[in-house]
Amino acid sequence: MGLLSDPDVGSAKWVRVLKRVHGPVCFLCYVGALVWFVLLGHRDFNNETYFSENALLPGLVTNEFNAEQSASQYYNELLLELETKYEEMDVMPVSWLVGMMSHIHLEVYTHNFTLHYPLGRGQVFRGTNVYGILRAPRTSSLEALVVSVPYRNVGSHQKTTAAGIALMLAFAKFARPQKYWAKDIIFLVTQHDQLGMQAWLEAYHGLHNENEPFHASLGSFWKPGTPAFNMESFFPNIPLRRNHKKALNPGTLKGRSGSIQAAILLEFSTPQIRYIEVKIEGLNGQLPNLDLVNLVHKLCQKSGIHHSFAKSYSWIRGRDSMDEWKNGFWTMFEMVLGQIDGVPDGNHGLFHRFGIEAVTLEGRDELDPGGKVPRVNSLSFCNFYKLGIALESILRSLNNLLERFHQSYFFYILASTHRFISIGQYMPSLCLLCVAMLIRALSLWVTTLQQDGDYNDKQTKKVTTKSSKHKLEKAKDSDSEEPGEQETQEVKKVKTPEKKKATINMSVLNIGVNYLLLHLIGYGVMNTPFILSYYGSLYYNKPPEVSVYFGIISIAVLLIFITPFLPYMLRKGPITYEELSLVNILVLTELSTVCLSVAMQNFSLGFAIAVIYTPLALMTSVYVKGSGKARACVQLLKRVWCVCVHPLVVVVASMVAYSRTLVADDTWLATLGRGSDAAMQAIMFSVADSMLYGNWLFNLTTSVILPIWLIFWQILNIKVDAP
Amino acid sequence: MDLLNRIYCVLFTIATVLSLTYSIEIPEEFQKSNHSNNWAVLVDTSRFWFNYRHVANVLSIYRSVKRLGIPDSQIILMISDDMACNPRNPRPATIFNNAHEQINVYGDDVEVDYRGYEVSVENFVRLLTGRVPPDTPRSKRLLTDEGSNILIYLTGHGGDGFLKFQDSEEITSQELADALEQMWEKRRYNEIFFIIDTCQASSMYEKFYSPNILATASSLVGEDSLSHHVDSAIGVYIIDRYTYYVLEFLENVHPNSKRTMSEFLAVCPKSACLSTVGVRRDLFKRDPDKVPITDFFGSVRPVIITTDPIDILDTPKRKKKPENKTKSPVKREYLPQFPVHLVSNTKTG
Repeated sequence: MGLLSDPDVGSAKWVRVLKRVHGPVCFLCYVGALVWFVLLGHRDFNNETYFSENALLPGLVTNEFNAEQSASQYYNELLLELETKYEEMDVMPVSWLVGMMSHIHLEVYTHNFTLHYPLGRGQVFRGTNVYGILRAPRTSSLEALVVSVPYRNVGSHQKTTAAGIALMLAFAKFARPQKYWAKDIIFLVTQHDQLGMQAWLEAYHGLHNENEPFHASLGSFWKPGTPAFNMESFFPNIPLRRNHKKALNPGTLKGRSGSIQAAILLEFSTPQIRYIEVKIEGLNGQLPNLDLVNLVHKLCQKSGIHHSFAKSYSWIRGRDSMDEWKNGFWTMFEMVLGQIDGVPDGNHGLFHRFGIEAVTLEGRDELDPGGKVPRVNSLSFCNFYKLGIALESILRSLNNLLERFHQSYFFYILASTHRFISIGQYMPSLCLLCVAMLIRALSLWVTTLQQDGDYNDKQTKKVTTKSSKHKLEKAKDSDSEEPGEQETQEVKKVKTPEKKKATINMSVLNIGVNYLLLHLIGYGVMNTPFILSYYGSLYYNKPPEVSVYFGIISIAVLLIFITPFLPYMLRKGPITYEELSLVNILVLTELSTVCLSVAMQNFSLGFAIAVIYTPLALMTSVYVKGSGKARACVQLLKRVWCVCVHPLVVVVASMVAYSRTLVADDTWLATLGRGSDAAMQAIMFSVADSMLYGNWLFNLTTSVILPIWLIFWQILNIKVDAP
Repeated sequence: MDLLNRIYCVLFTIATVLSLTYSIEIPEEFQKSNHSNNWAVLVDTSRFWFNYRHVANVLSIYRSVKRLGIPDSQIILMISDDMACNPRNPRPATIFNNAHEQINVYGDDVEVDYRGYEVSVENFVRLLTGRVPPDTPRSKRLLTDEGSNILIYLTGHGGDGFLKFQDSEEITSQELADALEQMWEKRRYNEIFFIIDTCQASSMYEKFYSPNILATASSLVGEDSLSHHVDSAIGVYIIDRYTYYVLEFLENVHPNSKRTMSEFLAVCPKSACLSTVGVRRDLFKRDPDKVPITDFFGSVRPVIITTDPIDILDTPKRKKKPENKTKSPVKREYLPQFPVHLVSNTKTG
């Protein structure tokens, strides 16, 4: 920092070079980052996957699975049961499942959980999970594996999982008499998809006692009962957090096993599937260890099942390297897109936070949505035998594990089912974006410094404006008899006016208050859904998603109009050029820090933020009054662009684009309406996810990204006098 | 009657010994070894289920040397992990060294001397150098002397210059060389045959500097030592290549076989092992071509052949030592701590 706060900094050669070239350099960094990212799909920039864990011994063992008959029997029985008894109801066939599991001689338990929906008028949902534990015959129950199927009733919009349940039961029947299990196997059927899974995991890990939301209590030193800042003491009438009651009450489990090492989730609606999609993305973009992903792909292949990951299909091979590059890029892109929202694409995503590696195997056929799958009709159908073989070999391999998965990568992007990009390879693209922002910040900093220097020169009546000459003079002075004294005088001369000037032109307090206030506003917006949904349902009788959506839109519009005037309310004099530049430097630093730190956990989200906001960050500059019409015009365009990348606008735009890809042959107006509806749902989901599962997206967007955007908006809208 | 029986017995023994010595007539080209007993130290250093093959390796060698005549009392068997009782083992209480699963190498007559976490670098070095705690049972001691030929077999995971013990520590080649030098200085061996089946195995014997050691390794530095085949019923790699071919060779060796050590050293060509078998013979004084394999793998029983008749009736009489009996025990007492008696002497004198 000594270098950066040196008053002579303007004279250094690198500063002059930096000031001249920082624009093109930033641009090059931005383009370079995108090019780097695109290149990652190419063979030469990613790697073949490999096993790091020796203990897995994948596929060495002969398959003995022979329960395909019982699988189809279970399947037919279950379908019959559902048709006759549970057709219209949103209830799980608990008694049937318990009966079947007891018949296999598993230790069967049921688990009840309750959800007090935190938004709106507080509805209550109840659910039941059923699980059976196969105890390892020759060892103590210290470790466990989980095989789980989310139960989906016939009427739900998603496919049922009847075949998954049948397969799981048949496998349990086969596995029960085997003597080689070194870990317990828990066979679990959950209700209400992710909700049931979350409840079961929380109950399994004993998180039912705390009153805080789940994500606040896990891994923090915060103990319940610690005095804390309580918003409700200030606003007793507004139910801010529903008395800090946890929304999801996971209840307690009657039977437990050891620490869970890995989990495999099955989503098969029918045994006649064409291929298996291996889903890996978890909550907040967390991924399972690469070893587990490799294991599943390899054993699918060995069992003769076609498998895929995000449009990378095992039965499709690229014709040439260009083709492979294209496929690799799209797979990568698809994975990154899926990771941005941080919503798990299956129940496996909830395991990751507990340090449990998990994947979902989803059976698909040619009728599945999500784009056309090439040559899918030429694939042969799968059957219970093949699926059972695959499940058996996966579990026997997991059974060999001695430690938790830790050898292979946790941070990676897959370019196909068998190629990956490690964190060391993809991080540079994000770093380039952040470097662009930091270069911009540095150049702004040295520009302000030099202007200070110019100002000083004028004050000390020195004709020379260039600091190099100033330096020369200094050298001459030091040649005289008392160099030390001379120099100190010189320094004093320089310093006093600088101080004076600082008091005139720069008020760190004013900037700081403004900065802090905007972040507090962001924090406030983060907490609005409770209030919005409460009053929305109280006065307008609207469902929570509508009240939250329109509430947030109106807040956003209000903020757009208010924030440019906010700095004027806090101060007497006009805001100066130096102050606004400092704000600009601060916000650039903050944005790059946020992007990097978010990307440490969820690269896709960090990268997306960086890609969207770097152009804005680079083009934002302080507008000086009377700069001419051309500059004014440019400033206007910048403002328009700024509005275009408002977080809310980005959400709506991406939802419109998404619904366009889903239903391509629609009028634009209809697409717009559909997109808006989708955005409403998306915002509601992200709010609910943040409260129930601890998804960051909503919190991050409102409490960090929104304030940063507001600061950019301020900078673009304030006109200052020339320095 | 009793007497007669005894005489017959002795005569019979002498006759069999004589006939044996004539049947194991050592060929002319063999150099005579001057060892008087045989010992074997067989060590598996790695644990965990996926290292099943190492346990199978060491048990196979154990079985062979035992068959060739080294008794259990002279075999020190160290096994790091209990594969037979591993809950993952679909064949509980057995260990096989071949996918055909014909021989259970963990049968009834296996004496494991060091097992589990007892297999450590410290215990191994103490065993070799004889510096064991005084309360160590005989079965855990290497009670060799200057006439002992020792077979040392090590298997596990190695690197360049070290061998990993368990999952936590390793012995370096220098430490091993120093331990062997101590053995030589303490006259604990006559000759050593050192076999090691690990990755980069030859690095372990490069530092040896003590005489009379013949060493061979399954792979050279920079090479991996590979496994031979998988038993898909158990689901593990069942044996290492080098040991597999060694076993194949040893199965055809019998106690009075005329195979030589050089045959043993050439047992696994590169085409079969996929790694190059390393041999070090500069410390070994004899020519491996002329050393019978039974010098290390078999056992020498101390047999003295006599042509003189043995007079069993004539029990040797002990000399009586009356002077010992009459002598009263010397009364011992402590000297005073401060030499007062000397002081007084000087005064009077």
